[in-house]
Amino acid sequence: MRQIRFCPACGHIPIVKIEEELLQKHQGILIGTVGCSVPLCSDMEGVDAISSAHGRGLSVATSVKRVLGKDKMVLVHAGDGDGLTIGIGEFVHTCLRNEKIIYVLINNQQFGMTGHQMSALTPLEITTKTSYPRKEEYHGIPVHVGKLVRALNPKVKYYRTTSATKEGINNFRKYLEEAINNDGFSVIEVVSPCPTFWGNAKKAYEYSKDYFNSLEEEHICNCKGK
Amino acid sequence: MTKKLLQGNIAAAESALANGLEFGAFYPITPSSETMEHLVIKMHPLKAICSFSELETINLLYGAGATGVRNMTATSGCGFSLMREGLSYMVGANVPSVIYLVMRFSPGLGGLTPSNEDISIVWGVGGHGQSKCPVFTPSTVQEIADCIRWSFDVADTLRMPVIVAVDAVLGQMYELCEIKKSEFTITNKDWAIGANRNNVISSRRTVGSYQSYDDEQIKQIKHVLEREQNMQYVCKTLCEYQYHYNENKDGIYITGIGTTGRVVQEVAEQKGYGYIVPIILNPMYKINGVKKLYVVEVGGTQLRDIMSANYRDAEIVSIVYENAIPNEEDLIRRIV
Repeated sequence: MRQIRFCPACGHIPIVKIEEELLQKHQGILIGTVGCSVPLCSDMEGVDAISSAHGRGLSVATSVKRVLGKDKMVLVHAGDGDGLTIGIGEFVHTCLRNEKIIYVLINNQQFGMTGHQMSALTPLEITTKTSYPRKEEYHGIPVHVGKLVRALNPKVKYYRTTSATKEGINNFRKYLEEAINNDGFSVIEVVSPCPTFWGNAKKAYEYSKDYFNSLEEEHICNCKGK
Repeated sequence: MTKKLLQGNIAAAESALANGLEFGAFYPITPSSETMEHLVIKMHPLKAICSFSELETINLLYGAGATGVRNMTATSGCGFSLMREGLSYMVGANVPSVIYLVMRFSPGLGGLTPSNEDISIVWGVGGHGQSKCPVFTPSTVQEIADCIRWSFDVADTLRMPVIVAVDAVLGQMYELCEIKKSEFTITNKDWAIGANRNNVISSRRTVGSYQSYDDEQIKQIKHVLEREQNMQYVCKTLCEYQYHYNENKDGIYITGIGTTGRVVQEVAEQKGYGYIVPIILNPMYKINGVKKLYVVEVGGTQLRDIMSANYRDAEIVSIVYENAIPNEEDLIRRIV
């Protein structure tokens, strides 16, 4: 990395370092999107990159993949606001087409860059600057990425991990290496702590671990966020 | 090459294929769908994508353009509105593309009748920010084919999207047309991604306290400004003609674009006036000695605004037809 422009203790940091290593190794192409990771394209060293519009990373990746061929590794790095809020149309159609793209979805359950607003993945009963708190009757239920992918196309490979634990980070590397060899679309959801907006680093990491565990059962998080 | 009887939209598709089109993305929209239908049959299914929206279409072109291949879409006014964000990104990131825009009537859903009502947005700025693109406004089917050919060359040279805007009559009209192949090629695309040159395609500018400009960014911003100045020179060099023009000693001219431009030429000859029919709307090639300019257009007063900006000393008379291409007799009556 030329420089790291995330907040201190951000859950993105270990993830982007692993991505950079594997992109360099496989001479892959990074498709950056809009969100906390917006400086990523210019900060990663030795990687071809395209910085795309908000929510449109998968569209850009689709054409890059089709022009450059099946063997080229194409990785889209997006957040939950980008990928599943504004970009859910792109996500749905890429799942249906099963394009050979790796999609790293950093899920911090909010719009981080714009300052802690509710996203489509913000759990119920969680307070953000635009939900006091999130209620089903006002804001609808949050997206469950795993269930959505399974419903859309069972052929799509879906992985879930967290950058809040060492084990989760190791799993991310394992999943990403596996995804490079997959034939179709691979979605890696990474539950990522946001120390800036979930209180402090300790609270954010605890909250992310609880949230990650709650995803196994159902998408209603009872953990104590900010 | 022999001349073939081709529809305007199909001539656009054929000309694109003859000039190295490698990637297309489309969403069906009347009155431009024939271009999509033709290219989807002629191209490999992986390289001609039927996208799920115009938002996806323009971003597919962004990705394809970033790899350096020639790419194109066909759309109409409603679709173009959705594409403007992506278009702005492409201008900012210096990605070439060709957008074939078949204009239809009225804002919103409007109607399917022909009009010139999108020229103001394509002439002013393509998308948000300083994103002016070259704009071609052909007036015959042959000119559609020619403009598509030139637009690929201009897009590759300037590294930016180019818009070819025609009205619905011209898109649907059949005329004899010769598809020509451009002799101009740019083979050195070392800015493109995909060959591990560590290139970054981005429209992002970091500003203010977050990070001060570095040399590379200043160079990039300068490039955007210089490109606008270069546009005039490049379009003049690469395009065989920039307008149809007939001189008038009194300085009285009639102007119109597309199908209206053809009517204007006939009427001007009968009235003994000069005419200006721009084939390249942006950058505008100005004619000297214009004292009075009748601006004939369909739908709104957009061409009047463009001509007022370019011919500030001339007296501008606006003649607007609500929703139909003017006929000669009526236009002669209205030009006093």
